[in-house]
Amino acid sequence: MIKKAPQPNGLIKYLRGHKHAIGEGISMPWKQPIKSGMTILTLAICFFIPLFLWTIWLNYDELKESWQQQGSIAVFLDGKMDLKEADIFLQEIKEMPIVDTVVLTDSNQVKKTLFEDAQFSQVVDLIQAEDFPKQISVKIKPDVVVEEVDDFVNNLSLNPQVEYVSYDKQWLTQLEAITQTLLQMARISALMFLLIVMVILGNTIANEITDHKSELRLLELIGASDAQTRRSFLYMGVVLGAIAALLSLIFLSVSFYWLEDTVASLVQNFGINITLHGLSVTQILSVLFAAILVTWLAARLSLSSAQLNQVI
Amino acid sequence: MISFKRISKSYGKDNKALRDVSFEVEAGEMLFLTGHSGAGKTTILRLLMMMQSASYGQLCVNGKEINTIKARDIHKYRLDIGMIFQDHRLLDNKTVLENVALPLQIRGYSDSYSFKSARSALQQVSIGEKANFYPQELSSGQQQRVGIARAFVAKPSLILADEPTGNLDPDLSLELMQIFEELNKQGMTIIIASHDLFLIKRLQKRVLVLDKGELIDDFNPQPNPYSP
Repeated sequence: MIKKAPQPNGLIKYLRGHKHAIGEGISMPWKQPIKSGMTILTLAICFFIPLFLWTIWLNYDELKESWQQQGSIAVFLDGKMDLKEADIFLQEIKEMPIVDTVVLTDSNQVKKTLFEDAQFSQVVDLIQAEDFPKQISVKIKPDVVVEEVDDFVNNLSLNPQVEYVSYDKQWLTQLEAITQTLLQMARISALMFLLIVMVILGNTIANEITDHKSELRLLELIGASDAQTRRSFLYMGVVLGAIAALLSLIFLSVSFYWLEDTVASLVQNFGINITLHGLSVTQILSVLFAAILVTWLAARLSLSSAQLNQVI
Repeated sequence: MISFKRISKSYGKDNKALRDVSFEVEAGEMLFLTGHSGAGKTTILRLLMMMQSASYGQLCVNGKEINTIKARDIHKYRLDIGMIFQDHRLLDNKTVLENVALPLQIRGYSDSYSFKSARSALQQVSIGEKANFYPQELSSGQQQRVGIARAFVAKPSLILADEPTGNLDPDLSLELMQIFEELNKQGMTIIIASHDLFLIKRLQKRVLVLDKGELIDDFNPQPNPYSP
């Protein structure tokens, strides 16, 4: 009878298998550096485009907030209301779910603001006889849709304490349309480029499998399971994806560096004071995690048992 | 241990690789499969390795009909078999030591145990000093020794060798056969496909003779009273 060493338990076997596969997966791309470099570059470009759009989208959110202020709601209160009543009413508005911030402006402040404006000061002179009403400026939350704002404005108009509600519905509608278009464009391009990532990575892995055909056949004959056979290729896919994601983040920083001055002067022309900003640490980690997940998924799909058996 | 009952294997309609082959192999036996090219020797080994399945008949290993093994469990079955190929099939990007340690690493043994066992296996086939060489730096005979060490390092109960001495000179072939005999003495069942009749005669082990897919003879050669 042959004396064999006791077999390691399942978990230890699994962990050791992964340890080996990680080593193999990391070393595999460096055996053909030019080929791997090209794959990484292509993947990085595929990651960069949706990443760039996403970062622009994040910046646009800030810009939208600034634009939305131009479409904020002005609630003119009944002239008979004293300051205390106005303050109570302000608190009621503030508690409404779609409201972001509220500011109460008394009639003197309204007058002062209008006097400061060259064109309006002449008009104010003509209507001096009339006292200005108190005004509450309401800024709505950025993610609120026009229909909700409409309902909010209608309800306020019906309130006996309110003289008149003014807001630029067209502006908000246009802003929302632009926002939705940009968001959809970002989503579609992200999907398309992720699809490209899948195809490129699938193709790269299929080529690697073909290159290692005899090695895989041998591993199969000496008792390696499909999971053991595919493991190192999965790690190789993840390594390529992680490097590509890092490269795409570098591309993003460079493009933002180039765009910074141009965008700053552009937004200043519109009287908006915002600066272009990149991604936070959390967002960078999310990008890396997403890239690893996508490449792992692409690698796993191209390494299905059926596919593996077909190639081997 | 192994039982072939009326096994046939066909490739297409007219190409019959095995025809109604029946034989049994006891655990711890060493035997040769011989015959001309295309006689069916390699097909028998391929069926035993589950690289192919029989078209007809019943093939049992250790009392279990191997056709009933599910595809996902084939690797477990193969863990108890060591395979030696005529073309060695060593991995060029790994050292001799790493090549031999591979079956142990697949079984989940630690690197230290795998490399220690691999060194010991290489010593057994008298090639210990080449442990850190790459396969392409070795002669064909040395590469075959590495292939043999890889096949028995995990101590399988069955070793299958397909023309292991195909490219080697007679002296080297005999040396390798002595290694097989040594492994057989340790309790491993060994099946060698070979057309080297001189070698088969020298070893005086059981011989199965195949011709055009048919088993035409099964005998144990008698020792020659006149041989030295």
